[in-house]
Amino acid sequence: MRTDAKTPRPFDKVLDAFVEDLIAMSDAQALGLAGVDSAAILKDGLSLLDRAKAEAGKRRLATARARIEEARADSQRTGPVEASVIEAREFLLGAANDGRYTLAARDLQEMSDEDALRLYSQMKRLEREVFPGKKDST
Amino acid sequence: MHQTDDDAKLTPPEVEAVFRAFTAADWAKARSLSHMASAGLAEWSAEDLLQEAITCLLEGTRAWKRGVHPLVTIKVLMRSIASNERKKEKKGPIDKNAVVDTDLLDAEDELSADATGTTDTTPEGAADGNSQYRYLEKLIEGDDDVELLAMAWADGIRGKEACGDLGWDEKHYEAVRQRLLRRVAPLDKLRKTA
Repeated sequence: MRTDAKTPRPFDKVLDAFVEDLIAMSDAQALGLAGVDSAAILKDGLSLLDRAKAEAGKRRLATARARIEEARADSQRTGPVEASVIEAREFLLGAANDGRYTLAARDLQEMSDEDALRLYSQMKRLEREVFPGKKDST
Repeated sequence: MHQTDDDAKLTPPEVEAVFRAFTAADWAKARSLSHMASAGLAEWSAEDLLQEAITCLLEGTRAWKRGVHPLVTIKVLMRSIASNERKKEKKGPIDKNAVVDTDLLDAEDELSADATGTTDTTPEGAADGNSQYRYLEKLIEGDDDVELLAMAWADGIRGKEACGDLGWDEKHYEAVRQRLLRRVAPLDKLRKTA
């Protein structure tokens, strides 16, 4: 069966007609329709607005916290590691003699500055992931 | 001066100012609308639905285009929230603390000034809207005039035109409309006290 995507649903048409009626309705008719006195309905309405405002504030705060957490985690995962070429080479030299690292830092002499910095960044990130509580060893 | 998309939407403080200025009659209208929009929702009262719509506007996750009547805006939002909730209820198990999925109508959705018509119908949505109409039919069963009014509205016949087509005077039309709303509202009261 094919459904015409542009055909409004029957219940939506009912709602549309009702909204149109409500907009055209006088204040007295509207209050009569609700069947509650005006002071009570105004008080209830403002109370609902206050609750909605408080909830919106909570959700905005939760969203902001989640974003900060996400950014923090992201930065720890992929963030750049700041170091000079000399610092990077010194670290790699130490790493070549460190049992924790098994990579080919022994070829340090032939390594370009760019590769040294890249390798240094990779190793520092690895160090943070494997030893998260450990202080920076540079 | 060029108007940006953000200029075309009310900011959360502006949204709050509009509702803060609501009169008792405005709240009465919003409340009546929420009763109708929540028909068939098992876990949400009309008040819950209205509050959620206003919360989303204040939070800024749903957009209110400038110039669109407040009732039209909250109608679109309540319909969207209700539709999402019905889908969750159908899929079950029910998560009573679920946060409304804002994907259905996000901040980029546009509401035109005369957006009382619908343009977001999908086959799945049509099935959902039909089931809600069937639910409404059950609620109003036994009151011929109320059934006639609902059928006229569902056919797209509104206000004075419906009055004329049904051969009613304005007073009778208002009385039937009130009975229609009362057929929907008692369930809401039961849910709130349960």
